[in-house]
Amino acid sequence: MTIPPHHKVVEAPPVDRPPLPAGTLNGEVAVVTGGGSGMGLAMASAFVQAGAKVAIFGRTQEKADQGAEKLRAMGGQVLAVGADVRDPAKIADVFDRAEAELGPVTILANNAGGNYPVLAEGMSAGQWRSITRIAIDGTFFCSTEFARRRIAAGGRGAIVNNSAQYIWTGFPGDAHSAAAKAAIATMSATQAQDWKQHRIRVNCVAAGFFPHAHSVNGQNADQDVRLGAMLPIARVGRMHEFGWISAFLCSPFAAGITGETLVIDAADRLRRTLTSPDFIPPREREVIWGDM
Amino acid sequence: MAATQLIALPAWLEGRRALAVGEGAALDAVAAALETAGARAVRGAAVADLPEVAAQFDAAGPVDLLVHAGTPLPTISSEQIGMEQWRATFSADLDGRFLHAAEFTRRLLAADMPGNILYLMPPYRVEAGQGMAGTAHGALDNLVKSLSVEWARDGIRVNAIASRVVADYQGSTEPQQTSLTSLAAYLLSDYAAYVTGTITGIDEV
Repeated sequence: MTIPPHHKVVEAPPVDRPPLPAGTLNGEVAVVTGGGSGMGLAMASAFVQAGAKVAIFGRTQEKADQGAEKLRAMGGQVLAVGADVRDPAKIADVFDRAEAELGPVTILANNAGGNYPVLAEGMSAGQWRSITRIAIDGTFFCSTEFARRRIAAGGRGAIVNNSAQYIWTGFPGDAHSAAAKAAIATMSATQAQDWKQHRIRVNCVAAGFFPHAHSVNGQNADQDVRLGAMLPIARVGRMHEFGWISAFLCSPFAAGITGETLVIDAADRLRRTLTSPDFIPPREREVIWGDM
Repeated sequence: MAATQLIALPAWLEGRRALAVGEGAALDAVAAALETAGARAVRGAAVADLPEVAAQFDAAGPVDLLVHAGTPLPTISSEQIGMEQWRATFSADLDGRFLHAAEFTRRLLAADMPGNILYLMPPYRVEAGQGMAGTAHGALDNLVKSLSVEWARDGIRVNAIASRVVADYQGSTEPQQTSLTSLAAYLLSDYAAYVTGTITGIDEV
């Protein structure tokens, strides 16, 4: 289905017109987990546009390097390290490296994660852990490492966590990620409370469809049009608008915002009609998540 | 009053025209911030009668942004509220917010223009004496979600900021005040073109 011409499709400004003025984040050092590609790279790019130095913690050194190359081409001062966010000792090591090379880390973007469709009854313990331990444990370990350092430095800092628009509804066929992304949102609110006295803010962005090369089904123009047609806003999300809203939450413009989950999903979660196509249990679908 | 703004707002709303409805320090600050961000902001009273609402839009001229702060709701135990007070406060708040939004959209549809709506509202608090505010919050929460889908393909977004910074602007910290005005301007701008049907706080922990 295509978008009828009388429907209005509003785009965000182009990527070279960021909302935060250049220099807004001068002097800040941001760690972005999973920052080598996709949504993490979008966050890292927005931080660089606003003047922050950025340390990318990638799943592998190679992935981190790929992202860092793009950020350096934008003029960013960037460190790329491979880091397993499930390992607190390793996290402490890479924070040490980031602080030695770039200075005290004042912003943390927890983005590392993964996702793939699998039926719960067929999900192995390893599959369950492959998502929940990166997303939940990784966010917890990185955030607590960050907070301990910020508290020791006298406080002040901002965390933004990458959640998802299905945290209020669940996601059949995606039990591991549904649980993990909702855990991140409630973790954010409670840590915001824990660390408010130290002026460490913790917020979440709950994102809808932002296809990129590393999405489950990759990205191509035809698929973007098809996915866009099913959304009230009539298009998929652009990576830079996700990155920008994440950087906004870490900026002085949001200096009083904490414990919030900001939804950026084109009202995808709100689509509802009184009647729907016949319900097919995920187990009986040709594609667990539905046709993409 | 001028907005408290720790950091200068960029021109996120250059060329936009806003109708800011209601009263209170939070709305004053947001309206001033919209001007700083490049919009022209016209003020309107929180009326809840359709001809009065229409007259307000007639007087304002074409607008593509609507900010509505509603009518102040008293703290009072529910059994003490009579129909007259209920109509003058709760109904005026809820009806006015709906009628303004619907009239705003009718005019945008007629002009074939996109636009944005932002409600400012108090946070949801389960506390004695908050019967009106609590009831209004539920209504507005689902109104935002419903309207956002109804009008999405018209290029009209609908969002809300529900915060104690709205309810008690003067008692809030400067960072919280700055965040209210910045978030309002951001949500009303095309930088938030993918954000609709949301209710966000400032610092409700």
